[in-house]
Amino acid sequence: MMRRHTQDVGLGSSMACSLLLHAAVFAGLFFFNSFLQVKPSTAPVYYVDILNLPTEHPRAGTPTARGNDAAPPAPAPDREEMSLPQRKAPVVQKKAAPKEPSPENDREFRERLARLERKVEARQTEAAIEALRKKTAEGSGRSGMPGATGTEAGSDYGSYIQSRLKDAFALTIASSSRNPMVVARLTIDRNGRVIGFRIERSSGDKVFEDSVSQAVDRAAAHFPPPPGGREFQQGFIFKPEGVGIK
Amino acid sequence: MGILAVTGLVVKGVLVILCFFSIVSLGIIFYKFRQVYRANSQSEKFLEFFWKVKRFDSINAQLDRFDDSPLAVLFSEGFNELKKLVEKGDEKAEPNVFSTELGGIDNIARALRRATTSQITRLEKYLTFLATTGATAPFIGLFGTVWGIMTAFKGIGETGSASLAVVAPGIAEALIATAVGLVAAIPAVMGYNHFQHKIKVLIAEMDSFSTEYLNIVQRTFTGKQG
Repeated sequence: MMRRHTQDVGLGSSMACSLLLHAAVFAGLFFFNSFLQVKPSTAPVYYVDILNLPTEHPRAGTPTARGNDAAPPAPAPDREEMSLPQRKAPVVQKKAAPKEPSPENDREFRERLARLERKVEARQTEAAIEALRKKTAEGSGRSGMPGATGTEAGSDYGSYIQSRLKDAFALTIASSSRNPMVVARLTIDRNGRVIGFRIERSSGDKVFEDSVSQAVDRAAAHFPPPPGGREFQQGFIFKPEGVGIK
Repeated sequence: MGILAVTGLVVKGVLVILCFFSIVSLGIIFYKFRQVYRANSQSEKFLEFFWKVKRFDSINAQLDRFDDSPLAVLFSEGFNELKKLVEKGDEKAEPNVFSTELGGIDNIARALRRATTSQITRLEKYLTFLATTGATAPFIGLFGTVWGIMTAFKGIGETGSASLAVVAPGIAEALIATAVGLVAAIPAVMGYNHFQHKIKVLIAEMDSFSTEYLNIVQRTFTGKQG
């Protein structure tokens, strides 16, 4: 008497199919990801100060803490403005004029009055132009803002470089210690290329130093030439909280 | 995919375990799909053949055509038992007769029940693994995620910076474990429920076939005796 048994075969081939399917899905994901690699945009951010007059060559950059601490200083009171009360003096005289009955006197008085008014008007216009000129020459008082010339020993340019480094550092920051710190000195030639990068002081965190180095490489691609066609050198302090100027 | 390279050792271990679960459970799903599909289709064919032929010895000679049918196995077991009883009846010089008083029908019923049980066991084999995968894979993934987030927060504490650039990669790495856990669990649960339903239908078919088989045997042989 033969007992009948069903034989189940095919578990091995099913496992092989499953393995192949997983490998295919994994490979598909890998290639899909490599095609859809999104690169972070490193386009510079432009800030426009709508409270100040635009200049011919506005500068890009992030306002620094120094620039944002307070509003621009109020313009000094113009001495020429003080001449305004003089304008009233002739008016007073004008009121008194009808008391003169002579027509010659009256004509002379009118001419004098007109001359005086023109003179005052010319003074006011000149004072306004002078105030504007002075304001334009001084800049808005904020680094990296329109009107900045970058001639003050490279101070505005330094702020600009600091902000670019800060942006790049946010993308590369990494560390293996609690409070890492790196002081690095950058030298930028007249064409805006980094020709010197030296770590002056470090807390010894190699990972943090590498991230600083990467941030400098990343930011260096967008450095403009320093103002005045001169070489620029500045020390920067890199901390997890951000980048500061030494 | 590059994100996998920077995950921690524990998260990597969790991912390996989940991949193993996923591969094995998908293999079992393929295997069970084939097994249950063939059992269903061959059972239908066998029933059709059974009611058409009506002669037990002719059916028994053709059983090789229905290798994967659980009903064919039931028939074979019942027929073997019936044959034994008939041969026993021959020894007593009463061909084709067996006594229900001696428990002949009960013997066949027991043989059919035993065959049914063995077929259920065969059909339900490996389904436990699918159930285990469905129930545990999300938790294993969750464990990997929790561990990854713990590591990420530890890194944040060491760095002293809670900027998005520091926090986001760690959390993204950690969440992969949950995603893979769900990928392993969802097909396993769906497969388990589907096969459970199909096997229930097959069990019902086996029960009704057993009852029918016993009726035929009792009608044929006891009728002769009477």
